[in-house]
Amino acid sequence: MDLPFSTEDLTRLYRFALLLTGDEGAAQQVMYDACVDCAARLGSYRNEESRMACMLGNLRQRAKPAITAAEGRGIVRAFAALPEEERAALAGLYVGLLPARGLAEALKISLEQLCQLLKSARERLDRGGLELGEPSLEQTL
Amino acid sequence: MKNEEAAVLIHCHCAGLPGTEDPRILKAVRAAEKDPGLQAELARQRAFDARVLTAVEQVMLPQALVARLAAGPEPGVRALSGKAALLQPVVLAILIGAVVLLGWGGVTLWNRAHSFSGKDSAIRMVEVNDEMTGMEMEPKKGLAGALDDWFFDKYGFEDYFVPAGFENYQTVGARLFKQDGEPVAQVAIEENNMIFYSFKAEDFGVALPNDQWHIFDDGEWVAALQQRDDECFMVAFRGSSSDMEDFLNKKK
Repeated sequence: MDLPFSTEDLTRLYRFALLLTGDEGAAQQVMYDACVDCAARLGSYRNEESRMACMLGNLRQRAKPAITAAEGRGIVRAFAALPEEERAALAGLYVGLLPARGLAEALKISLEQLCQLLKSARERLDRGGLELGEPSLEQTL
Repeated sequence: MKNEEAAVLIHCHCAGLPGTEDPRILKAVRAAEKDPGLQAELARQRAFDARVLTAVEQVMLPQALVARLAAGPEPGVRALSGKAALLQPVVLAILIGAVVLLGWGGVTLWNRAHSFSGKDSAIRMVEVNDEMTGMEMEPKKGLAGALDDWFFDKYGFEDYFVPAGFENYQTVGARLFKQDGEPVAQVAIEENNMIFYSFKAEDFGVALPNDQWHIFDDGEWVAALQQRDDECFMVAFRGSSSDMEDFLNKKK
């Protein structure tokens, strides 16, 4: 498949899919489907940011949480407890594919709304991590 | 930048990701770094982000996925959903073509089913009504079925014909006019402002089975025509095809 992304970009996109779905298998399938769906369109975008926004939008549309907050481990479990909007916003921020304004546009919200979502997501994640008995979110898959 | 604005925008800041900061966010961060009230919050956020980023960055791209992406779309995997398949340009073009063909076919069939020989002439007779002022007709009170002698005496017209069920309508006026050089008897009826027409079928190329009604619309008018041997009778009034069907059904 001819994709205009570096391995580093694909890794970041996969992280986004994983944080949204919470499951490695589901994330791989969502990522594969999004790449197949977007491959033909990506060439028509004039800049990198638009291509990334297309992929993020497609991944978000396809990604359904494959686990509940009670399942999974570490960071994935913590993200599964977030409402979808907060999960998408925080995952988008941490994978670092787009600047904040670009991320807001990809999520179809204003910059101020993105700020609010990120604030509440961080607070919820922080609280959730402690309640789940995970003093460190560095536990990974 | 005001501190209130900076307090909102710093939430879009993530220290461990250089190159992803907007100038406005960077400005907010600089303002927060100088504000004692925001410094602590910014520090907490940075520490939290660092912990999460460490976890997120340990996630690597699975080799199995790399191999699948490199291999390209799998046969049968690119099965499109119903909606996506319908939106493909080729499918859309075929569907639009099919719809146009079906529409055209439908219109052709409908026209064929509702058309008959001489219909254009009949329509023009009905259209005459819209150009009339009422002065064209000669006042004539009587029964519609009793005007055959009047038409013969006055115009030499021998083909006046009114079918059963229409003879007893009260007339208010009558005349004979020429269309394409051929005579047409026209009678104004008191009830429902109806107009009766009578003419020779062969003069206008009408060829219909005897006693069968053929209904057609023309603007706000609706008309029904039937032939008996070589004579035609047509009734017209303002209304729709369903009005005419109701009217004719009551005659049966």
